[in-house]
Amino acid sequence: MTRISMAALAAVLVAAAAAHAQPAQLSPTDIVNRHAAAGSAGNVDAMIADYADDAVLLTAGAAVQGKAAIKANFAKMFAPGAPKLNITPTKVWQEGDVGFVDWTANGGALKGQDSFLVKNGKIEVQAVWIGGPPPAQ
Amino acid sequence: MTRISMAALAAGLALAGAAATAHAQSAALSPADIVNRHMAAAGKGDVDALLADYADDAVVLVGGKATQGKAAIRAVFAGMFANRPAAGAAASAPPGGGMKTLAVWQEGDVGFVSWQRGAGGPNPVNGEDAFVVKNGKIEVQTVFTGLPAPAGPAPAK
Repeated sequence: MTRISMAALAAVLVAAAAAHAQPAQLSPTDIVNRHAAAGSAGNVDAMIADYADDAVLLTAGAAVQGKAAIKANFAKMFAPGAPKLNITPTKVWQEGDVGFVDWTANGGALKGQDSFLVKNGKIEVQAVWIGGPPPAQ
Repeated sequence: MTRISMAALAAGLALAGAAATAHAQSAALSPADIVNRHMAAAGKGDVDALLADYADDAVVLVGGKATQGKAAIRAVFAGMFANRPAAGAAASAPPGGGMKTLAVWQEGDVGFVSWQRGAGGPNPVNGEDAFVVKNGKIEVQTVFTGLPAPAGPAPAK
């Protein structure tokens, strides 16, 4: 009886560990796709879930540092009344620990590329490159 | 006698502590310090000096490519500087390929440099590099080229 209990306990522990490890092992491409889907849905909580606590978001000339600051940044972007960006991913790929997405916004008026350095299933650094004319103020 | 020895030992430890602080100091250059040192090394085409500031698992991101690890980054810089005219070959082709540093600044753990390539020419290219610096080493470098206008530090709030 004791032997059976121990075996059952071991099986449960193994299963729990596997279930926990699985979501942490998403590839950078998986993370980018999930991030883009959350962005399209305007779901800030889902977007933020993939960032490491000390993540850094880099855009030309500015660094948003830490999950809380990044969350505030996205919350502002998706706030009611904020200019709406209809972003369409055109290509998603990865190289090693880095996931990339090329995108267009507002029917091609704006083009850009994001790169995401992913460590242990979390976004450590996101760099946003925006080309083309800046959005109208 | 024992008391004196103890005092000497304490003084010795205090000195060791000072040395440790001095060591920590040099390892904790600010991101802006690192950027300035990096640009100076690049200006001289000194690949060893350039590489010294990167973490072993550093990543350089530029135009949809990720160069990962110090060895791979070294290969990129070595290739870049191999194509340069020899130093002193022509005054019109200074080391740095006509790259002009416009501004260096930092925000938290990130150092920035804005630059212009082909400054004064018909088609200057504006760009900016951002360096995420942890424990005095560059963890991530991103290069933004073709910016519509020269970048600079955000205005003080």
